Amino acid sequence: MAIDQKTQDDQFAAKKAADDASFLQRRSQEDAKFQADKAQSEKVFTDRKAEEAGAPARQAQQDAANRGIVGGVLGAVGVVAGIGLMNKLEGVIPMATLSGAQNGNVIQGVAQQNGFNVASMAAGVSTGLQNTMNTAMNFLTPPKQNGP
Amino acid sequence: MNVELGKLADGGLVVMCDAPFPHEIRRIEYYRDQRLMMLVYADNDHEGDLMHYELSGVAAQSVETSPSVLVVDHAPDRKLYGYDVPLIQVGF
Repeated sequence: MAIDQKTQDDQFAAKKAADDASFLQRRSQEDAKFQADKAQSEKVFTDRKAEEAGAPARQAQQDAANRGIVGGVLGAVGVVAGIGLMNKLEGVIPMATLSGAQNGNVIQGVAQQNGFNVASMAAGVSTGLQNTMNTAMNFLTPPKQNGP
Repeated sequence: MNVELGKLADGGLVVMCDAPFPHEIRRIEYYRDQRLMMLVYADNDHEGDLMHYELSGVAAQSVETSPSVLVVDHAPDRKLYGYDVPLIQVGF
């Protein structure tokens, strides 16, 4: 009787081990499928965001093509000169050095030679301290340079 | 070539140089991840100039929300003139 009970226990343990192994294998497969589906969903989402982000540039190219610029090569539009340009430039605020000397004098120099005014720091303060501080910092803090 | 970026009273952006640009600018590309701008010329032999300096956060924010830039071509011996060029955002 004792031997039969032991046999039954052994059989039960073996069956349980087999069931556990089967369960773990099934769960592992389901996890893998879930991860694959998730990766696919994320890729679809990322692709869609990339598509949306690229839309303005494509629209600009299409607009340029519609204006008769062959092949959608973007080009200059709306040339202004004379008093119209002076009015547009009046009160310009220097924001950043893009290339060359970091003295903040390029726009100021062009303004002095051509007769329009550059907004002073005092004028900038009235429009927003944070912007003025950042504008000033842009010239005071040397930006990182591209290349050696 | 010393080049600066400015903000106009109407909220637009302007790129100004203290000498004439070497060629007419066709468009300006802005590389968001590097915060660098590139002037792209209408000349096959001289395609463009990559600007040397990264933009600050505030300047970058203005550039990222602007569809175009007013380019002002300045030379001491002739009249100032400007033209709008598209500002192309590159990267995410």
